[in-house]
Amino acid sequence: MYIQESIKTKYPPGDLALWIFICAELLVFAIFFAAYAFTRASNIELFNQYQATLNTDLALLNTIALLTSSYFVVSAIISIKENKQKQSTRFLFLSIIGGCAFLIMKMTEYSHHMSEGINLTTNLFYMFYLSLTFFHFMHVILGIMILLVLWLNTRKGLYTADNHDGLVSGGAYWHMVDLVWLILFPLIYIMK
Amino acid sequence: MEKSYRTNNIIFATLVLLTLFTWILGQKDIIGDISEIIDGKAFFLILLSIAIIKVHLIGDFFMHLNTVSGFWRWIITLWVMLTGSFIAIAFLL
Amino acid sequence: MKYESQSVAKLYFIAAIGLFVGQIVFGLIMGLQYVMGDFLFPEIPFNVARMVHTNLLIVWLLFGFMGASYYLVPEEAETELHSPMLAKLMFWVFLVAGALTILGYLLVPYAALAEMTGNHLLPTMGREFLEQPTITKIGIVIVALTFLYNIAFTILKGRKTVITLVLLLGLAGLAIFFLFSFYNPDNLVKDKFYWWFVVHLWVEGVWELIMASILAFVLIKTTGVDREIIEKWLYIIIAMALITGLIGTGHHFFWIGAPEYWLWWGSIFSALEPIPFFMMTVFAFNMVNKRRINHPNQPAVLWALGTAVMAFLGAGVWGFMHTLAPVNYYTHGTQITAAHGHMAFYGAYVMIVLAIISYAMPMMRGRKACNSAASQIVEMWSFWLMTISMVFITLFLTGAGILQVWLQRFSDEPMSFMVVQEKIELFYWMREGAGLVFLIGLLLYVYSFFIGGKERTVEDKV
Ligand code: HEM
Ligand code: HEM
Ligand SMILES: [Fe+2]
Repeated sequence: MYIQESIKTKYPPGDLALWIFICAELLVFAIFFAAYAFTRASNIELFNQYQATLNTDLALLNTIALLTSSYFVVSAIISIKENKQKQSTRFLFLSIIGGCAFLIMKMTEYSHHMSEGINLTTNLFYMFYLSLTFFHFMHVILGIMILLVLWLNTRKGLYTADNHDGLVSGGAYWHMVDLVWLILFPLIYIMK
Repeated sequence: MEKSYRTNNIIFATLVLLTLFTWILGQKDIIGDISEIIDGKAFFLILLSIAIIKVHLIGDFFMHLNTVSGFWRWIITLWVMLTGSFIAIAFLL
Repeated sequence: MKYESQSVAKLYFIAAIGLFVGQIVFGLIMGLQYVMGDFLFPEIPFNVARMVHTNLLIVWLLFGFMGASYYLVPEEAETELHSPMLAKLMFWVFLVAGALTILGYLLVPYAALAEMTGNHLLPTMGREFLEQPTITKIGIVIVALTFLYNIAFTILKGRKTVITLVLLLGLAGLAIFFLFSFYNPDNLVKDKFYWWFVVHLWVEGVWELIMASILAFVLIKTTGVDREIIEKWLYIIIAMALITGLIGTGHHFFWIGAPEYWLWWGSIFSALEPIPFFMMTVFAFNMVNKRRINHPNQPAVLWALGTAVMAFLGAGVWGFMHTLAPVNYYTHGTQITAAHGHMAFYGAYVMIVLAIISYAMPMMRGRKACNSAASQIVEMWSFWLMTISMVFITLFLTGAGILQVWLQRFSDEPMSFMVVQEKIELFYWMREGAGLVFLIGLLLYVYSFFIGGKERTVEDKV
């Protein structure tokens, strides 16, 4: 085991096709982030004013929910490497809970905005805030669906210590959803 | 394997701590008006650096890129550096 | 050819090529009218020729897609077509309806045609690409549904592959989005908004799925590369096409009165639309490099590679050029748009249909795998003539477009539309010249089918 892990590979673990997809997705987010930052540069007052209306406490909890969920996915992979399917299944279940917690908290935030009559046309800041977070929100939903498939597959015993490429690939996608949020959180909620 | 679990725990704890730190920096009622303590640019740079470190950790440890060599080893780090630079240019210039 | 019923595709392909010739003839007529305003007036006014040109294009591509499906679905599903009879019947229904519609355009003034066909009962006519009388549109829906039924049942009873599922998704999307052509609100903003649900979501959404699956089929057959590898590519290509293409519709909502956020959504998402096209290019070349067999049908491989490159250039590069709102502000509706429309349609959809025709036709006409070496040489000539002349058409129109933007919209003392058109006349002459070469290429393509001779084997040089 030790030896195997110290040898470096040329390609990232998991399916290369999925990594290409991850790159494409990251590119989309990068452009969105840059667009936010540059638009803010010419509307600093407006952005600072409305940024202050956001709920950073919920955003903190959301970040932790995603991190915890990612943590459990990694744990699930470590377990499968030891051929502990049961334990791996449990970890995956917990990571799905983490993702769902994110969705619920984000939805309370959205419903709060909606009750205040805020929408895409309210102003430029909210346009970006809503577009970016909602685009990410959709990715969380997709990620959870992938996790569900992984969970079912693990339960069925499809993955073993020697064969768990699917789990690693799906996990990588979920970490991507997580790391995008790690930029989004400071950028939109805190940086000024 | 014990080692993998331990690494995982350490990385996770680091990520959570860094997140808490980021959050605290945004709290007026805890640390007061930040502009009285440090200058706005430094404030921004601290936040950005934390974010970059976090993303790098996710790439290296959660996505296991530390087991890869060559171009793909840096794919996430490269992405976050580039994205971070764009954001920095927009915020600082 | 493995299954008897695949041969219904032949009818569809022949009709497609016939209508293609018609389309180009009308393109040339219009091209001449651009520089000689009264050419063929009043017999064929410009607006009528334009309708015929674009509608023939759409109709023959649809014939091509249907033919492609009838050919590849039985082979992929490893079973005979659900109902070859129905496929033949629908062919004639579609052909007759199409012919009557075109004759209607040519023989009756458009307003009279609208009245004759009862447009006032359910007004859908008078919008670009969707000029067909309402009854023709209903006919198209019936043909499309019957076709989908036939294809879906073939897939259901046989082997299900990623290629057929992606194809089916694309075809179903094609039918669904066409339904928006029946929605014609009085509010001009809404009208335009939903008009793009047909036009954009076709070419930059569901048609991409159709293209990707036909391309994958031709590549599997001509390279012998593992299906799993090709399927993986298909998944990421269609995922990217949908993520970027659906919201990318916004690049048409900049100036029509839609909310402001479309400036952002449209710019950002459509800026990424080139990605799936780029992936298709990489995909095609990768597969051909990794090939396990040398297929004797060289033109088919050439068309497949050609479509991957030209689609990226026409849609990806020429599309990107004017897709960001600050650029589109100046280029909207100029010759730049026409340049892009020509190369994108040709590169993505004309060439993919020609690729599958080129691959399938020899076998449907009783050969083992391909035509004679002499025929293949002529076909490859036609490939280069058409492709290069299309590149020139695009370049000339781009030149015309840049000048147009400059003189009419950008300079300190903007000139009026018609004054500018006269100044860029030279480009239109050159476009017409390149168009003639295109027609020659197309006629050579047709001619290549009539060249007999011994079937080429891999050893024969072409
Ligand atoms: C195979 C794919 C494509 C085809 C067949 C195609 C075709 C067309 C056509 C025919 C038009 C003119 C529509 C009209 O106003 O009548 C058009 C417009 C446009 N296309 Fe595409 N296109 C494709 C892909 C793309 C891509 C990938 C992009 C962006 C990267 C793009 C960007 C645009 C834009 C911005 C316009 C509007 C131009 C204007 O404002 O006048 N297209 N396209
Ligand atoms: C396979 C080849 C061709 C394809 C796919 C094609 C496609 C199209 C499309 C999509 C349009 C509508 C463009 C728009 O709305 O901006 C169009 C218009 C037109 N095409 Fe073609 N075309 C082809 C060949 C030709 C040729 C060979 C000529 C002439 C030399 C030609 C001349 C024209 C003209 C003059 C228009 C009208 C542009 C306008 O409204 O100002 N086309 N064609
Ligand atoms: Fe479009």
